[in-house]
Amino acid sequence: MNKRFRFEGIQQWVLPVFLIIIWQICSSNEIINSRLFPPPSTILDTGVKLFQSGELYYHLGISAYRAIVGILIGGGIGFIFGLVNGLFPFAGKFFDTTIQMVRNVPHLALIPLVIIWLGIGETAKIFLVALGVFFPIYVNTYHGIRTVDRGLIEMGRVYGLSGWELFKKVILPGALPSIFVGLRYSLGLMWLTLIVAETIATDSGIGYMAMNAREFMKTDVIILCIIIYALLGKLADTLAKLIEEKTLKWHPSYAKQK
Amino acid sequence: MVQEGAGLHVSKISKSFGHVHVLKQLDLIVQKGEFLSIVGRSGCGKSTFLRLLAGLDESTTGEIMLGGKAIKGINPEVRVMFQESRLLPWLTVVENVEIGLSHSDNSKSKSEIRALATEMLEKVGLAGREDEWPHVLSGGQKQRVSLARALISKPKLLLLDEPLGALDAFTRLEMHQLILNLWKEHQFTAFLVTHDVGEAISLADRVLLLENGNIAMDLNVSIERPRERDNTQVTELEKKVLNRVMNF
Ligand SMILES: Nc1ncnc2c1ncn2[C@@H]1O[C@H](COP(=O)(O)OP(=O)(O)O)[C@@H](O)[C@H]1O
Ligand SMILES: [Mg+2]
Repeated sequence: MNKRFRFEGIQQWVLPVFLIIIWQICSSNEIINSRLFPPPSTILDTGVKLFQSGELYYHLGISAYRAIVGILIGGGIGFIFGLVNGLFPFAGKFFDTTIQMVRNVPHLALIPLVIIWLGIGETAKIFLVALGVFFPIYVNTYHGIRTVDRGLIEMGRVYGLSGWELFKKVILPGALPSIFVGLRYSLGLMWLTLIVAETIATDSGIGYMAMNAREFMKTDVIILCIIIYALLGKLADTLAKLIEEKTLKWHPSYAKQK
Repeated sequence: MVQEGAGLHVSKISKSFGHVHVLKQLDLIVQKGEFLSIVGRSGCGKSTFLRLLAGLDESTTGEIMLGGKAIKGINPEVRVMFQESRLLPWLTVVENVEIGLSHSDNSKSKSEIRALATEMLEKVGLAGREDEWPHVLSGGQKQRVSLARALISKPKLLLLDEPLGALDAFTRLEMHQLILNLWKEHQFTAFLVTHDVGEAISLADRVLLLENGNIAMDLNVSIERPRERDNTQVTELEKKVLNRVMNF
């Protein structure tokens, strides 16, 4: 049993490693143009150099800062609106239609306007990220609250739960699976927005590094940036998944063998 | 006669939804500790009646007194068992039972509450399952947890709205025994809504037939317990009630 499990863990890495080796061989032997496709070893080298000079660290920090502040603001507001509209039908009637209408505007289409309004500084990028993640979190929180099993709420009332207690014990846990769907979706949107925003209008961040490298045909840096974005995305998703597994361990689909 | 303040007095309650009059001037006096079954066709207002008793809905007119006090809104002395177990899936079995207690009583410590809940689970035959998630339990076991949750606060009145409807025959017989034992021990007043007339008669002291918004038949069942399913008196009464329902 144990052996087989370990083998399955290795199995999924066989293909990627194989592809990287092929790439290395082709590129360093000029079977493919190494200026367009620098070999992995060069990219790794560049990464180490950029890290040692502190440049990578600086841009990475700025990008992470934008992502985190953006999702805290946008996600926070979306969560609160979702809660309020879900819990109070009056608020739902008042706000929901408007929000759903605005949702249809692709937030990246606002970039030209945002640049005019806010310039290309931090505010603009954080605003775009916040706007992007707002909708998935809002929609899924609202939906989650609205679809909590009525029977459970009624049961809670029979047992004297009301107000904050009812919310804490019944409504919020019932809405959590849906809220997590929104969170994971918005993490994807968060990086996407950041990539676009940093590529188009910025003077720092991973996206800027890539754009700057383009000017000098430094493909190794560009590819490095792409890989970093991918890793960051994977990291955020893994983190969300971990939190989800911990929080939803009661859920049949997360039920684990003890 | 009924002692003052001991039982349940329902006087002239009516309940309408728009212009559908579900209950019409219903009167009922129940002794403390009596076991009542309510039967009647689907849609005749059984659940509506129980919801009024539970304080989940308000009657259009009339009054319900329990132990000398009017029932207004949710009352910790009244507990309900629904057709579905309605356990909170994100709480463990023992935490679900604790829901029945934590709000009626602030004087108990966490460990006292846990001890009571564990004891209650033992009584419904689920010792050792405290820390499991509800979704791993069978339907019958879930209803046992729900029963433990309802009884842990020692309510005066237990309302059972077809709680066994979704269970198989063997599990139902087991649950009958369990409910009767706990009823004897805790001496609460019980209302059991069921569509199974045989079940109604084999469990209750009194069987009520609800029809046209009122009690159309109030039958005393004075057969010694334990009552076998094929007891001739039970079968006779069952026939009588069924004829009354069908031949109208
Ligand atoms: N909230 C409600 N709004 C409108 N009509 C209702 C409502 N609840 C119950 N009714 C009606 O009241 C009648 C009795 O329902 P109910 O008490 O659930 O019957 P049952 O005896 O099958 O439990 C039905 O005709 C039902 O449609
Ligand atoms: Mg019903």
